[in-house]
Amino acid sequence: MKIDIEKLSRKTPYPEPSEDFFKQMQANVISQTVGKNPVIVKKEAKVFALDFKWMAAAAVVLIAGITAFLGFNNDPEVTIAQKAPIVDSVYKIEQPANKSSTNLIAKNDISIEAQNETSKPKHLKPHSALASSDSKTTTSSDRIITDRQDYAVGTNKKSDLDVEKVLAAFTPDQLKDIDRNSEQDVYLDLYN
Amino acid sequence: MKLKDEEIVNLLTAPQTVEKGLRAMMDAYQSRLYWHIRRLIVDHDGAQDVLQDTFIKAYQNIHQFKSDSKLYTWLYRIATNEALQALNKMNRMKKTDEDAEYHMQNLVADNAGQDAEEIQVFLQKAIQTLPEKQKLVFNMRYYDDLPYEEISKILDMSVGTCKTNYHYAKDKVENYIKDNYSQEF
Repeated sequence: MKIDIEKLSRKTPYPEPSEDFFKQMQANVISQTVGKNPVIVKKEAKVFALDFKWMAAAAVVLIAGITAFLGFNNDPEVTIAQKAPIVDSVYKIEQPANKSSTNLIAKNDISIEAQNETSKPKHLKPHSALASSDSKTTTSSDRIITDRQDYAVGTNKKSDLDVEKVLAAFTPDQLKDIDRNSEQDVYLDLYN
Repeated sequence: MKLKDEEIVNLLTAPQTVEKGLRAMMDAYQSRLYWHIRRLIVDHDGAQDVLQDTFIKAYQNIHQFKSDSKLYTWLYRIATNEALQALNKMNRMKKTDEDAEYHMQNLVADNAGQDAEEIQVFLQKAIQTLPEKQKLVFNMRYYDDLPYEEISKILDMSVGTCKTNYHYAKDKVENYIKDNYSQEF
């Protein structure tokens, strides 16, 4: 028997794939190719034609905003407070803001005289005590002297008294002997 | 509306129209490539995997496509290589010691439809007895009716070699059918 395959119908014996086969295949291919690296299409940004009116309005708003912002931080009281120097409380007390300097000097003299009269450690009392004692001589009680000043004046006075006491303990003859035996300080002569 | 090869390639190379180009390419060639692969692989699921891989490879290497050749020639080449790789893989993974030719003939019988003609089943079994190159040339010439020039480009053969291979393949197939078909009937 002679068989000529050219005369046969060129069909395959395999059944046709289902209708969804190629759709499913395409979906698989897309998911493994384009789906993995989706293409992002950039949208073109809108370009606004800048009108002169809008530019002017924007400039005004900007200037006003900057001015308001700087104005908030430019409070005069705060500025003065910031500019005031930081000083020691001692000096602050010496410079009372509401009193005249002449008045203060006069009061200081009075207080020193009072201290000389008493020559006791009363001057080491707190201000309130001094103020109450001074109130007898001076009607106004706003005089302010620091503890440090009181202490300095007090120690000077005390040392003078001690020297006088020591000298008083010696007799005139003893003082002469001491004067003879003591060597003259060369450097002190320069200042005598 | 079917697009021309040039239009499909242009769509595939533009980043914004890649998906459209890929779908157009698959719509145009999926059926022909499926049957080309199916006749080599025989198994439907295996053919589906190879077809998917073919289009994925085409998508990944579209920049290597030269516009002086036809798109379907290039796709046939990719599909053929993928199918042969899959066949080699199947043979390596085969658990039984049966002959590869015998295994493929059994696979043809298993995959044949109920309404398939016996002569068509014998023809497919006869094709499975052919050497690899003769099988490829015979399938592309007999079923796909490709010109020898295109077959030679796909398989990197001369046109004369393709003609010779087809001639030998045809004789072998006819003899196989003659021997086996007459024995059964």
